[in-house]
Amino acid sequence: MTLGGCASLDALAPPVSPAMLRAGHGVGSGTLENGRLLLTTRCASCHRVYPVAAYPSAKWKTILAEMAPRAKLDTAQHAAVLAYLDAALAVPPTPPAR
Amino acid sequence: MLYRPSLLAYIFAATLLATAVSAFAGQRKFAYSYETLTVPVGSVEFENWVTWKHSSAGERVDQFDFRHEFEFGVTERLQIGLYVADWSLTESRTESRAVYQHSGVEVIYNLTNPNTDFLGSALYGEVQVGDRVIEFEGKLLLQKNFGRVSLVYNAIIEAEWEGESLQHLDERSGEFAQTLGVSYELTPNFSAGAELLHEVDLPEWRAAGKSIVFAGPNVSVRAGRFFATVAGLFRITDQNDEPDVQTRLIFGFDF
Ligand code: HEC
Repeated sequence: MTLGGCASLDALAPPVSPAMLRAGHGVGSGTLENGRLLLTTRCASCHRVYPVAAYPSAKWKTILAEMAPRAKLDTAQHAAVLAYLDAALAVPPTPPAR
Repeated sequence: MLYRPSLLAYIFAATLLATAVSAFAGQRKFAYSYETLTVPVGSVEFENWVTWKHSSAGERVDQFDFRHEFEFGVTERLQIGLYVADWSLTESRTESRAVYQHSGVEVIYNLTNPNTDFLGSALYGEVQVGDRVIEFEGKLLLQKNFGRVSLVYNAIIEAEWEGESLQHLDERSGEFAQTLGVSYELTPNFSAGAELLHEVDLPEWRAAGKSIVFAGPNVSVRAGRFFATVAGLFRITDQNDEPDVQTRLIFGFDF
């Protein structure tokens, strides 16, 4: 549900778009949506929502290796967050990032 | 001042013991307000609270309230908490007394998310039973996060029956309270802000009684797997028979 479709949140974690789906190496939109949801909810229960654009993909991988257990993500959820980050990073953001 | 070392030793021992057995997952940024997100499904946490109330009008009294709580993430939105024991230690010039108060159950149901929805919200219910008291508490929790800033508001209604024993609960009282908090995340390890607590007595459930306001700063730190949140609130209304200052520390350790 993106009822409160908040402009600032969309800038931190862009909503899943057709371009992201094409960049997502065959990952389904459900998985990407779920990855974004986890990143903006479960991952933001201890601290703020970090901007996707704050780190390159490889750095996100190491961060997630440490943070996924803290957020009690299972393997599928961990993979969904990574897939969303990769897809979002592969698509140039419409407004300049950060 | 013979009681001082024994009191400090007691608190220190209780703190160490509690730290050694505790685990937690969600970081609390506020000591007097609840946030709206529940703990992840399947996780079990242990939280420890110490609230120190200091009164200096007339006789000088220090009261320490302790709480040890397990929290379980039941579903994505539902969290259940078990209060193993709430107990207090009262220290004055003339006496030093530890009293068991009650144990209970708390349920928090998350409705909306403070990051992704317009306003984060949750409902909270609590039942506590002691050997001479039964207490019910309901809360509405509201929260909004804007980037590094978190804003929270809690509205609380409490009903209590007290007496000589559980069979003779002949005194009833109530309280309405509200809390407000703001916190700024300087780093993921450190947040600081302010909290406000407003309590209104409802003696015998009739007219509103005393209305007391406390306010002060808070800080929350996390170092690796350890977290601690502390708030020091000063009474800003002028009831001299109420504590001048109260400080609450909540901490946990994840292993
Ligand atoms: C249980 C609390 C908790 C949860 C849940 C959590 N984090 Fe963290 N996060 C921390 C803490 C604490 C730090 C500060 C670094 C440290 O102490 O390890 C941090 C730091 C970070 C940083 C900054 C790293 C840096 O190098 O500056 C990022 C990015 C991050 N977390 C992302 C995430 C993501 C993504 C998730 C979800 C998978 C997540 N966090 C879930 C507690 C948490």
